[in-house]
Amino acid sequence: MSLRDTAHGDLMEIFADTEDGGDEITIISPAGSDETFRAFTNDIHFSIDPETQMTVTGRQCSAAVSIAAIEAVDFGDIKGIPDNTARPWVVQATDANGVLGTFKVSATHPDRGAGLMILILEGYQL
Amino acid sequence: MTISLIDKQDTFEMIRDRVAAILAAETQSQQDLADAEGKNPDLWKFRVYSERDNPWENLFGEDLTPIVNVSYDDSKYDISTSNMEDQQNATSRYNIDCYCHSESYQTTGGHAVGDELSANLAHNTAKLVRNIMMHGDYKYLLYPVLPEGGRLVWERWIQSITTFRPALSGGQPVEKVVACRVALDVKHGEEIPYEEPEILEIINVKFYYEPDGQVIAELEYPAS
Repeated sequence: MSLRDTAHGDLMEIFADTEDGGDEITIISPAGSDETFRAFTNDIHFSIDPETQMTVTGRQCSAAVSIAAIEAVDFGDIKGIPDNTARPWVVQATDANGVLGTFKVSATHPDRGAGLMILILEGYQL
Repeated sequence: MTISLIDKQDTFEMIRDRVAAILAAETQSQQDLADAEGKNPDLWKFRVYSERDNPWENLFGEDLTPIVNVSYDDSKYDISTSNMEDQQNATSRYNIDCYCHSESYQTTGGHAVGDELSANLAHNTAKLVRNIMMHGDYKYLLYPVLPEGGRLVWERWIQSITTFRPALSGGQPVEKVVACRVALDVKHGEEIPYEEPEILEIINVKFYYEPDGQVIAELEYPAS
């Protein structure tokens, strides 16, 4: 077993750990089907610099999911959809206080070496 | 000391406040006009601020109305048309920054994309600002002819409109914020009231430096 296989196996164990692992998120495909995944979410303060010498306080949100898990349910082509004639990939996740947030996947950062997909999120209204 | 108490606003300060007041009044007027024609007044709505430095915090949470911030940038004085005593002519630059944010939302056939909506909203807000500030009614920013003739403000001109897109090198925010700067130049006069001094009393003045370099002037007034 290679080092990469070991790391990937450990990652899958961490995701699958219901006590100490990730949290549940829901991903909704452009076709309307939804699946639940375990993911590590990030939702923190972000300073938006519009380059006017004054910043705007915003949020930076992302979700890290297992590539194996999303490919297992045929969600492997998840990506940011810029086309306004199509529905985007939508992620619903709760924060530490249980407040539900709905986001559009604006970009994906796959790490196929580790088997991890990071979903960069932006605000979205269903 | 011969200078009387300086207890007035300079013209560049008055103009900054006047620009903000004009924008605040006109956005309300535009909304009323739109409403009277059966159109959505929110398309003509923006919130006006002046000289804000703190980050815009949570101003896009529920109310997505664009924000317009008026700030004074600089003044350049024209020595060739000024005098050394009581009248200096200047061109002052004011930055009218329009901050806009729109969120992507689901539509019947797909979805409306937030980055495009934000950019269009910023351009629309800048358009409103330009049309207001360059309207003939505001040629002299509502300042009347002075009693002695001449004007306080004799020219205003939109020097440029620049759109800024946030850099993505540090990551992408949840909010799609686009800012548009309307740079407004105003030519105006600055007056310093000058009167022939009348000797009231003789004052002794002692100048010295504090250990930290501050210059101190101690005035000793004659015993009354």
